[in-house]
Amino acid sequence: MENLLQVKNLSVAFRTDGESTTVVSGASFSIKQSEVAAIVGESGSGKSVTAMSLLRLLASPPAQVLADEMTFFSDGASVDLFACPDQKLRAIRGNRISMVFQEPMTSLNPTLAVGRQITEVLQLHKGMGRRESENAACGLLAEVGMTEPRRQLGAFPHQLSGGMRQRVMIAIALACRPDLLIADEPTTALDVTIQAQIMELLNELRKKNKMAVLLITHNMGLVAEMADTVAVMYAGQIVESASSKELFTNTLHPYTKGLLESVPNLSEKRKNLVSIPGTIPSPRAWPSGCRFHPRCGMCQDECREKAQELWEASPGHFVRCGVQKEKRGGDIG
Amino acid sequence: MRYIIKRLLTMIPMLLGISLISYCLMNLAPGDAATMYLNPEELKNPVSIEAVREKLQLDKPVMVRYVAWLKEVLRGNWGYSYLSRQPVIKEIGARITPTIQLSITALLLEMLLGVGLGVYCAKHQYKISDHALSLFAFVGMSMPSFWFGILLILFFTLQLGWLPSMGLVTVGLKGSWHVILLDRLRHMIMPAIALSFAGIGSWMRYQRASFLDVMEQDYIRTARSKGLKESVITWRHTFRNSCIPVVTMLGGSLPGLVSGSFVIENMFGIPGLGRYGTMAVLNRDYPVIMAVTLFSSILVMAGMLLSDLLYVLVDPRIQY
Amino acid sequence: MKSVTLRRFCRTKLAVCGAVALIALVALAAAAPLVSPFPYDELHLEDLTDGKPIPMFKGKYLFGTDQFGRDYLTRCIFGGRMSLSVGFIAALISLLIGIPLGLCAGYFGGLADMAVMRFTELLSCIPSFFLILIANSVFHASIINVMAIIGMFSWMGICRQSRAQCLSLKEQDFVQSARAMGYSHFYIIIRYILPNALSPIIVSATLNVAYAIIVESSLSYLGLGVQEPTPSWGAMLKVGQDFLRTSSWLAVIPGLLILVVTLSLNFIGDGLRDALDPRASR
Repeated sequence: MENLLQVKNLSVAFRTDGESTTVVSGASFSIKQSEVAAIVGESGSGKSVTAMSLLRLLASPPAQVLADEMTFFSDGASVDLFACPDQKLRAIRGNRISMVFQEPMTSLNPTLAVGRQITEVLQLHKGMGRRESENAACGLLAEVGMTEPRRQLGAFPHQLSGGMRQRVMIAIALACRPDLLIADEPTTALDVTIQAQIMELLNELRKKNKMAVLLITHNMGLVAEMADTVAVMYAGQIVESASSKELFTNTLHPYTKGLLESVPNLSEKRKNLVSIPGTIPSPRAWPSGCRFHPRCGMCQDECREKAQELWEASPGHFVRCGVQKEKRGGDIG
Repeated sequence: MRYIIKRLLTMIPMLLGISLISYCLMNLAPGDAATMYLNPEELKNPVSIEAVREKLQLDKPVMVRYVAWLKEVLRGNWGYSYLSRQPVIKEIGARITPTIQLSITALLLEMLLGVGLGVYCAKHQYKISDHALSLFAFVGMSMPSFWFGILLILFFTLQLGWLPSMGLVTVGLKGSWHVILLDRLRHMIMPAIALSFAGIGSWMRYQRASFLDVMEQDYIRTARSKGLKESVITWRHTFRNSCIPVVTMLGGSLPGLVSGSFVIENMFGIPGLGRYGTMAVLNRDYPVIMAVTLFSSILVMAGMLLSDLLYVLVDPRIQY
Repeated sequence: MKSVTLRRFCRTKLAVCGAVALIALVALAAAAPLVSPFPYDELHLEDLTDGKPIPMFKGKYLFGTDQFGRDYLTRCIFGGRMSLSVGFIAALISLLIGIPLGLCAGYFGGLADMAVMRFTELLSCIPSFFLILIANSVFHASIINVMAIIGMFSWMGICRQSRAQCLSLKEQDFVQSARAMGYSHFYIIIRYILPNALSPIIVSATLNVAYAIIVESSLSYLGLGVQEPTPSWGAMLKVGQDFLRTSSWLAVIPGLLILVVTLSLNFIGDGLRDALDPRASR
């Protein structure tokens, strides 16, 4: 399968009061066509910022984004999302790459009817007229499972529930049949029962439209269910990345292990739910050496001093942990 | 519609309260109203003073006189001006139009310039032009309107000789309708600017803050992620939402505007409600004072009602 | 905490400029009899030519004289005394009326709230300047009356703001726990609610001072304020307007002084708002 998006060495810093704090450092990943790639991490790990920087949605200032490469392959051509002019990027936003955000309550414009919020994308990118775009919007609303779509076109966001609003957001994101959908914690703000519905809907639509999804989440269960590849982020760095299968069967990084152990699992009866001790450090003062070492059960002296590099444990499986490397090295040697 | 009727009905007790307050306030005055009613010649005659007292029922308690006044007003009789001996309602009718004209012109100036400049500042946040305009807004808010009026007269009338400084029309001017209209505008422009200067400043600051606030909202990020052009994001998405809190300011700015017109009308010699009211106050012309109070309050209330209705247009979440 | 506020305040340059200018003017007004070159009502008719005011920077009169040959600088200083004292005391009166009414309405709710809010609404509907005008014509126009009248008709905003503050504060845990401790309502309002409600009210109070100064000068401008020969900036403007063609400085100077004072107050208010706002980060 061909690459759809390739990101190399993405860094994001925020500059406030003359002080620069790096929230994402050196993230590299790629997404293949019609696969689900997940970025997992606790809040504050930089995963949302990573997603946002792909479409250059971070306000600058204060954000400063750097990347060696951020190439998007679409219709046989490639575009560098990092370097291309605004106009070109606008043609991609909402058209080839679209986004669903975390907060459906605040992500829709309260003064525009939902129909208008869908049709404006269609009119902009597909050049549809008013009638045509309204019919298409009606179809989209039906597709995301809204009852009485024709009537809902005139509804305002405040008249809809959180789940309904997220469905509208998905309809907007889907309007132009994009190649890539970035879903930034699409269900975090919703009730548990609605969460399942929305994820099911996303999964179904993804299959139907052969669309790739970049799923940003903190929910390992969701990742196990949906993702083809996973990147685990901690303190602004990718600490482990692999195919979903490989990661779950052969977990290497102690942080990933911690995350997995903190997921309640019904099939596997575990006595205690383990949580990772401590909290995620602040970007203003990342720990020296391995950024996870203050919370790590396997921590060694070396971890405190030496910054860790990603290394390939098995083909396609990258880990940022020196202790594991030594162990592995020992095993092999 | 039902909402409007309800609002109109609640205006009735309000007006009653206002009339009671001002009636009592006026009657706290020491001194004899009869002395105001009569000219110096008549004052020499104690019989006529007695007659006037009788006629104006000055010997009765305040509340009795208030009820009597109210009954007459409800019958449509607003009484006669002590000064001109003309029916008050007739005089008010002739003077309310210039005041409404002036207030509306000033309000439009405030809104258009204030909102426009506010958006401009927000779009150019922290640039030199933003700082300069913010300073301008502060000066506007702090400027005593009558002094600004004097400066305008000094500059545009005395120095440049461009604009007339007195009255509403050029006396004896004849010509086709557009000559008349232009003449009216030339008379209106300085008072309107003087009256609206303070408002422009506060509208501007308010609009700027509100616009900046909306620019940081999640739905603006959504709009951006759709690939919309910056101009569409500014006007369709940001501007309309930023107007919601600003529209609420409309109702609150009206009393100030009408208050301001009292001074401005005196300064530019505009024969409106404000000038009429001030004259009445200076001469203790009670029926006129009462009528001016009530009519200016009605003006304010009508404006507030309008601004509430405007609110519905701007914010779909509000429903009456 | 106080020093943080002070530091934040000092960071806004305009507010500091405003404070300095205001303090200077207040000091000048307070020391008026000591610093002014002449008594404010001393006539120098002999220095006038053709009964015309003496222009600025001419001879011993820095700001010139008015049409009676009274030193304009002196009158400006004494006028400032008048305007500033009216402004501050009227604002104080509006605080003394508005805060207790607003806090009680917010704290007790129910009928008290309704009565106070209706009354406030009522007064806000009448253009307040006209009310002040009426009241001022009714009572003898002395400086005390002017202060009292302006204060009595400009407390509505303060009242509404105190009420809103009180409504949100009374739901908070520390007030609830004070109630559970069995403190009296009066004690809770004074010790728990008032100190926490004060900062936004202080900001409004500075703006109220500016408002009172403008109203006072408007009244004097219409001839209803303090009467001659006591100088006030508004009345001086009125006289100045009559001499606009020949001696424009007579109208320009007092207006400029009013502007400097109100502008300073607005800057201070804005700086205070930023300094007291716990969320302010920019």
